[in-house]
Formats: sequence, C-alpha cells, structure tokens
Amino acid sequence: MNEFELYLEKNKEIGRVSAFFQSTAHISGLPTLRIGEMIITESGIKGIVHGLKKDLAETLMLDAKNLRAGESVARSGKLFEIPVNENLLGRIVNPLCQPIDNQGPIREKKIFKKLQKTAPPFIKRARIKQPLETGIMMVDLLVPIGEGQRELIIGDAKTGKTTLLLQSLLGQTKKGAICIYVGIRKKDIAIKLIEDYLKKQGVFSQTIIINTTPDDSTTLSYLAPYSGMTIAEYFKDKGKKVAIIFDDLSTHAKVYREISLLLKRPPGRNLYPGDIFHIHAALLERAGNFKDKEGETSITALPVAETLENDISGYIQTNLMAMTDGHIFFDINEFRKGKRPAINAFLSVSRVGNQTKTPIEREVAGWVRKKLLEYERTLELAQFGTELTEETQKTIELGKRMEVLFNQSPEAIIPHNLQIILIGLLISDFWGNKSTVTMEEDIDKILEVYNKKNNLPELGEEIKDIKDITHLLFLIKEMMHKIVQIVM
Amino acid sequence: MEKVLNKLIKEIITTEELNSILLEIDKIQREVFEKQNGSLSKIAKELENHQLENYLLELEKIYPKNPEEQFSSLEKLKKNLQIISQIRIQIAYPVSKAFLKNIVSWIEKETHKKLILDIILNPKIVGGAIIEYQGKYENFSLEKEIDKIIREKQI
Repeated sequence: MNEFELYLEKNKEIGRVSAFFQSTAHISGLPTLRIGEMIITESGIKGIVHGLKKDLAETLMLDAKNLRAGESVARSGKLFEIPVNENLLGRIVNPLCQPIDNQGPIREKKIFKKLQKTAPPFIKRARIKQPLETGIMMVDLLVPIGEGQRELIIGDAKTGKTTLLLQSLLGQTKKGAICIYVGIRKKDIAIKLIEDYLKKQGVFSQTIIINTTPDDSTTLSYLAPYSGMTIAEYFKDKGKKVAIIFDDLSTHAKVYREISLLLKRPPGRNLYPGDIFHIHAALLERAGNFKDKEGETSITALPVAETLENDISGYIQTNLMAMTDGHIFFDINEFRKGKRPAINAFLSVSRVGNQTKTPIEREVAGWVRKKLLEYERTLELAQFGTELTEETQKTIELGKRMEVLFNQSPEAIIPHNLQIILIGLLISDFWGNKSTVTMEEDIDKILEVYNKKNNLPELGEEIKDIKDITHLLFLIKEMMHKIVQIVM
Repeated sequence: MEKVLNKLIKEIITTEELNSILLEIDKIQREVFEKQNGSLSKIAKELENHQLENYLLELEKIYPKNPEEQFSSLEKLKKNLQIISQIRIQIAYPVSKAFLKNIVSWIEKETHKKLILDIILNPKIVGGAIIEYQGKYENFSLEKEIDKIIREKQI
C-alpha cells in the first residue's frame, strides 16, 4: 500500500483534481478538508490546502509538473508538517527539510512539526532585556537590537544588507545561538558565498540554510519562511536562542501575489491580495522573547525588504515596518559615498533595542547621534564655500573621524565593550592630529589585540560599572599607556 | 408534464445513459432551432428512448408551434438532469442492467434520493466494489481483503 492508499483507507474521503494551473490546483470532493491540511494525489504529489470554497478546495501543489486533471486525491487528516532534528545544523535544505547540499540524507529520528502555527500568546512572552550584539558599531550603538526583537533590514539591492546580516549571524553563533538563514528565490551562487563565509568563520555547524532557487515551484518559495520559523521554534523549545533571517520578504510577497492571482483572488493595492499584511504579521508574531521553564528563550527575526532607489514608502516595505520593532535602513547614497555599512542612522529605528542598553551606552549613543547630526548639518553649510570657523572645522574633523570609526570591513566584528572604549578614545581626542589612515590602522591593531590576546580582560567588568561619559574618560585615561603600547 | 419528467428521470440508471440522453437533447435543440416550425412529433418518432419521446410529445402539447419556449424547456430539462447526484462504483467485471437497476432502487429506497451510477470497470479489485459518493470513500473490494490476509501472514 502506498501513502495515497493508506490515507484513503484511513480517512475514507476522496477528491479529484478538477483544474490546475502552474503550482495551484482546485480539488473537488473531500468534504471535511481543513485549511493548512496536507493532501496527496494518486501519483504521490503532495499539496497544502490554501483556501476552501463551497465545492472546491484551493491547494498549492509541491510538484505540479506531473499533475493530471481528474487524478484522485486523498486527505491526510493532519496539517502540513516538516521533519526536524538537530542534524539539520550545518546543512542546506529546501523548505521540506530535504538536503540540497549533496551531503547525503539527514540522519537520526526526526520529529514532525506543523508548518503553520499560531503565535504564542502574550502571557508566554517576556520583556526583551538582552542585547543582540552584531559587532557592528553603527548598529550596536545607534540602532541596537535586542534578543527576541523583530528588526527589518531595508534597502536597495547590493547595498550590503546580507553582509550586515552575516556579521550579526556571526556574532550570535559565537555566543552559542542557532542561526537560520532563509533564502527566498536566491541563486545557488549567492548561497554558496554565504556558506563559504560561515565556513571560513567556523560557525557553519551552528547554522541552517533554507533556500529556494528561482527554478523551484512557487509553493516551495511560499513555504520557505514558515519552514524556517518552524525549525526556529523546534530549537527554541529545546531552550536555545535562535536568530532567523528572512532574505527577503518583499520577494516572498511577490510569490504570494503570484499564487493569489493564479487562484483568482481579488487583487488590491499593487495587485497584492488583501491578506498580504496578515501572512507576514502572523509569521513575524511567532518570533519574540519567551518565558521558559528554565528562564527565557528567544527567536530574533531579521526580515529583509528590498527597495528601489531608496523608496521606503512602498506598500510591502511600509507593511513590514509596521509589523516589526524597528528597521535598519541601508542608504544607496551612503553606499555610493563609500560608507560601509551604508546605514542611514537618522532614518533607522529600533523600538525595543534601547531598553536593553545600560545608562552609559545610552549616553554614548546620544552623544554620537548629536555629533553626527551636527556634522551632517555643517557639511551642508560648508558646501556654500563660506570661510569656516575653527569650531566648524572641528565639527567636520570629528565627523570624519566618526565615519572612519563606523566604517567596518565584513570580517571586522567589534565587541561591544571595545565599541565603548573606541568612542571613549574619540571623545578624549586620542587621535588628535593623526591622519584618518593612521586612525584606521590603530583601530585594526586594537581590535586584533583584543580578539587574539584578550589583552584587556578587565574591560568587561569595568565597562559595566561606568556611570557616565566623565567616568568613561577617566577609565580611558587610566588605560591609556596600555593602548599606546598596542598602537605603537 | 411532471409525471413524464419523473418517468424519464427514473429510467436513467447510469451516467452513460445520462450522457446519451443529454446528447439527444442537444440534437433535438439543434433541430428545433434550425426548422423553427415548432413540430416535435416528427423528431420524437425517430428517438430510441421511449420516455424522452413522451416528453417531447407532451412539450408539443403545451407549447404548440412555439420553438422558442420548446428550446428553453429543453434547456431546463438538461439542467435538471445534470444536477442528479452520482455515485461512483468500481467493480471488477460487467454486470447486467437488471442488477444495476436493483442497486439503484435499493439506494433510492434507503436514501430517498434519486441517484445514478457511474460504473467503472477495474479488474484489479478482483471482486466486490469500491464506492464513492460526494467525497466519501468505502472500499468493499476483494483486493483489500486479500491484501489484509497477505499482510497478516507476513507478520
């Protein structure tokens, strides 16, 4: 007996494929079918029930190439599930958890988890208290992310969004978290680059990549984020912290639009269906900081949205902004100026990240934001070619140095404590009249020493006790001889 | 008219018969449209189905020389026939019409509904029948019983 016959005998219900187009099919019969349920055809093709009409069920088929009209269909009686286990770590799989990395099957016993689930209620959630350190100064200082937060990464294509995501992924895995990267219609070459980066950094064993290529069926691409979230929930239930990246949800919205139009659902704004907001909100609601028997666990969601020529007022982009706890905006103009990462700090927001910060971090962030704003304004005025006062020149000089400080290569992960020290050095005018090139070299040296030799072990404890900038400057003064030795 | 219609419907047992009647009605409609004289008795004489013949004669009595009304009445008849519920039965070998008639009258007695049989010959099931009705499925085939015995023996 094959799977189809087994389900037929078990549920004693039969349907027929009455029509199909691309990856969608209409099924008649099956009187007690439910939304989200798995169905199987006589030839073994599986599908998921997407909608129910009076006499028909709208289904998304996983393989529509071999589907035939009139084919018999059986219902499974259970919601669509995917097999998960710990051996998914370090693998590249499709949304059905089937390996696509030529590394053989995923072994050991698998647990079947429902793909579509309602988000945990308010009572099971906890306040976001822990910061998610990305190692990127601009983000950690000005747009901090908390563990369990949903932060949108928005910007034009090729502005360094994936680089930032990989850097934050790296920072998380180093702290023992599980990272899941969900690629929607990503080319194999893009996934290969991500795999190589993670392998080079030695954190691939803590990562799972779920990907669908542009050649895969629309159904698979549609299911990819749900699959990623289901795997994230599996690890969260095991008490692990998880960070999940959806790259990107604007493509996912296009996939859903394709499905909805094929199913002849009424199109709304930009031809997107009316429930486009709901499907993304329901997905992202499953992330958060949750109460656990042994404390707290979290799923941090980092969805990506692509813009066109910095237009953040698009339909899907504004939807995603509304359902997340903030956004980091990658500005194409900043990118063209050579800023890396090309984040526009003034258009980026973090609604809950600030509550994870200590008072000194808040004060430092306030100082940086103020100085950056002054620098921007002064630069605008300086364009008119008037003679600049000494104070204005100082502001511009400080702004330039801040730009150097915030320019980071993809490999450079600056630990949180070091970020505060570097800002402290800047405030105390450590680099004085030194050129920006020397400053860059000094930062590299300090970072190298901090990472390799752990030459400043007492730093962590001391940073915790700092109350304000004056206290920070005092500490900098005390450790100045050590820093001078490093940069010599 | 209703009596004649009921008789016509009662006579239909299988989907094959239903389809052939629907084809006949199509043909009649074409002729009614082409000739435009409103005479149905000539067409009725050529028909093999006695009940359909009676229906046409009755129709001519109600709408004499009125091809438009005759045409729309035939359209209504087609719709009435198309909505009759079907029950799909898979059997291993052909059975007589009398046997099928018995089945239909038994089902009608039990369900108080007019049903027609969609008979599918499937020698694979060896004997018995597989019944499908409005998405419900029941397997009373010999194949299932044999499978069960084989599985039990293997265990």
